[in-house]
Amino acid sequence: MATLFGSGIKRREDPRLITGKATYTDDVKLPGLLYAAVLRSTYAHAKLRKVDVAKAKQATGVVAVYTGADVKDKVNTVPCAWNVPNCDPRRTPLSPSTKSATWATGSPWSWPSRAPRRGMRST
Amino acid sequence: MKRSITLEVNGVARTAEVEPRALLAYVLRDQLDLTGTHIGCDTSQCGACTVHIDGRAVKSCTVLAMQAEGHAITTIEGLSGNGGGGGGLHRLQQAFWEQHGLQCGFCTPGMIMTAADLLAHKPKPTEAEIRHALEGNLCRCTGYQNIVAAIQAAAGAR
Repeated sequence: MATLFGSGIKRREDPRLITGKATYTDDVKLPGLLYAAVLRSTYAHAKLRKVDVAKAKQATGVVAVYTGADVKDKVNTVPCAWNVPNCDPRRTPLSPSTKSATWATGSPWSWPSRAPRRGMRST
Repeated sequence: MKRSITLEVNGVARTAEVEPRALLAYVLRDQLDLTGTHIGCDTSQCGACTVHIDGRAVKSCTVLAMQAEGHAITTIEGLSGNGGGGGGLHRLQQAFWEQHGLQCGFCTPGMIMTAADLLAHKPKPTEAEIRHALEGNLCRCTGYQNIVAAIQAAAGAR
């Protein structure tokens, strides 16, 4: 037992990682698997007036598009709080709502779900 | 729009129906079930997709699948047993394991493929040469120190 302390121990998970046999999320393959992408705000501070997803819904391979209105009352807001001492901690939660102002680039606008992509990644 | 192509992957002839715009990384992963090659960026910067084409390391996200027809492709799955003496792990894989050259493992196949090309053409690289060779491979976990150590160990193990 004394020889265990300080001795080099090889990790147990490495064999599948070093041979490319591990399953990361994107490696999962299931029948009927769909891929979702989140459309995020490209403006640092803006008022979201309208979301029009008609064209997106008709795009090839798109199964569904969800906006804030669709998931209102079904999805909790994401609390955004950073307690910096002596600063006013803005606690406005990130909300997928057409009514709230977006505070920061990256707030989600909508989630299209689509069938497996054909060799090109959607952003 | 799709064309049938034949790719030699890890010594085996594989056929796939691909659009002309299909990238090799996606064909390997989605159609040939070789998911050891990873996609970590949209910009060809990260190197997680590194494979060998005719023995040279390339980023498979920046190669059209149709470009690879007629060439020998080697992925991380094809490395086991090569250069390591029969079956089992390649000396680079063994070294990454022993030197703790990986944490999450996502960048590791790309790191190993780049290192394999380096060692095949420069068997005793200096630390500076190793770090230079790895400039196209990004790691978010390790800080690169043990990756370099692993490659040095594999080079010394010869």
